Amino acid sequence: VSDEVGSAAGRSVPPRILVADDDALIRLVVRRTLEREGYEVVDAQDVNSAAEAARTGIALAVLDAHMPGGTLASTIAGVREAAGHDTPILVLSGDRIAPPEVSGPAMAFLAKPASVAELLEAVDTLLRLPRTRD
Amino acid sequence: MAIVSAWLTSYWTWLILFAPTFLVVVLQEQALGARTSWGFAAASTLIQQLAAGVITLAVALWLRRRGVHGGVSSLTAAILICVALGIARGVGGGLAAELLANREPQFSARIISWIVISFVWMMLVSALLSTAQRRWELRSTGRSVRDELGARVRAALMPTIDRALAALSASPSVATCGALSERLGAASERAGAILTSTDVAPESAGERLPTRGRIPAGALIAGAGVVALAAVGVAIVVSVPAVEGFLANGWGIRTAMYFALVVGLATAVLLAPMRGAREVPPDATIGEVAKDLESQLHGPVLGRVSAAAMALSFHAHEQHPAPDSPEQLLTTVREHLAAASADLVALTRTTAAPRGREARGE
Repeated sequence: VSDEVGSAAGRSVPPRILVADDDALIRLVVRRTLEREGYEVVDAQDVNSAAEAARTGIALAVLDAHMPGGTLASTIAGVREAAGHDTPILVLSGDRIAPPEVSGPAMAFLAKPASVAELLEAVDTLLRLPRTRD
Repeated sequence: MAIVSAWLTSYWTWLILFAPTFLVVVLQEQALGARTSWGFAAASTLIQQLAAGVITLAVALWLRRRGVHGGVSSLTAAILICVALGIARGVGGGLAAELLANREPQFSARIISWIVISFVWMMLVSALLSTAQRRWELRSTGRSVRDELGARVRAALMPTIDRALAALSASPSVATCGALSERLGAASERAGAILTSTDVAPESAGERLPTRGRIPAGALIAGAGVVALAAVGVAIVVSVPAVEGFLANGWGIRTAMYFALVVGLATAVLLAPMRGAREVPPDATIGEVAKDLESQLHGPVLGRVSAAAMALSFHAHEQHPAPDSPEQLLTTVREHLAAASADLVALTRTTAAPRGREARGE
């Protein structure tokens, strides 16, 4: 069964997005920007809290590539185990090139500093991907 | 690869060998059946070292005259040098025994044992000193490269951070925040590019390379380490039963020479892979230093600057900011940049004396 998830506009239940970054400033501005667009946001500051937050049910995860408590691979695995194996992931990183973990379907990469337009476009694109319920 | 490295003719090698020579002399005199006073052993050591010094000096002059640098590669030349050193020490020791202790000089036994010992330890000590020097040079190059990269990263980031901090203290407009964001983003990208580049000025990387006169720390350890090998050499050649008969015929002397040759070659073979493994190519060293510095700067500096740039960019695009949010956001951005600035200074502090404008990040 597929379920198409679109942008927040015009939806009765806004998609919930996880924003996980150990930098409070990034969490603050990404949260504000996404909330302004109508999304519901939960945030986390390390790998463990990201996996915990993902259990609340999320449509997308915006993850920092370098967070305390584990590697990017372990963060992605933890989030997808909690929220579904096809949960779209947007990786934000200070690295100029995408890490090797950002491969496969429902994955995207943005180098910091990203612009508002780049962030919203990436979020919208990932949320439009069809998902299969586990 | 040189069989005997350039350290053979170093006066440091000559000085370092004083201690093991003294021990060998004591062992040698006991093995030759003489009661030896410490004073005689010291005097004999001095005479033997002076004799060896004359040979070393002659070798150095010969190498210089032939324009040979980096050690002796010819096996024949290495054997001749060790034989000459063995004869000089053996004759010196025999004369000391005859003149100072009124004993039989026993030149043959002394010369043979010293040839063996010379072959083993001249190769070992000079190779160890050479390896230690190379490692010291690489560490020194690493520090220079780190200083150079740190100065470049500071120069790329610090002026922009300082200007941004000054602008943020004066309640900047949304347009100013947008411009600051772009500058910080560009500066962060420049700094990242510097850290992924291995193009470090070679003249700077070579500034603090050591001269031949400096003693690597490993030299003293090497000097102490050969004592055991030297003692083994003495025991084999001098303490063998019926040594007099062994030395009395040409067959025995030839066997001893072959033994010295085999031990020397085995030492060279054993040392070769060890030296090869430690000689890291300079490019790899620069890459490793850059990677290490990048990993240290990633979060505390580059991450914070990127976050500040992103926050200012997002702030510039907010059409209807909450009433109290701009000031709160800008305060957090200022704190981020101030912390990044402090960490940048701390993490790129040079290991040598500051060098003018670069050291100030100008």
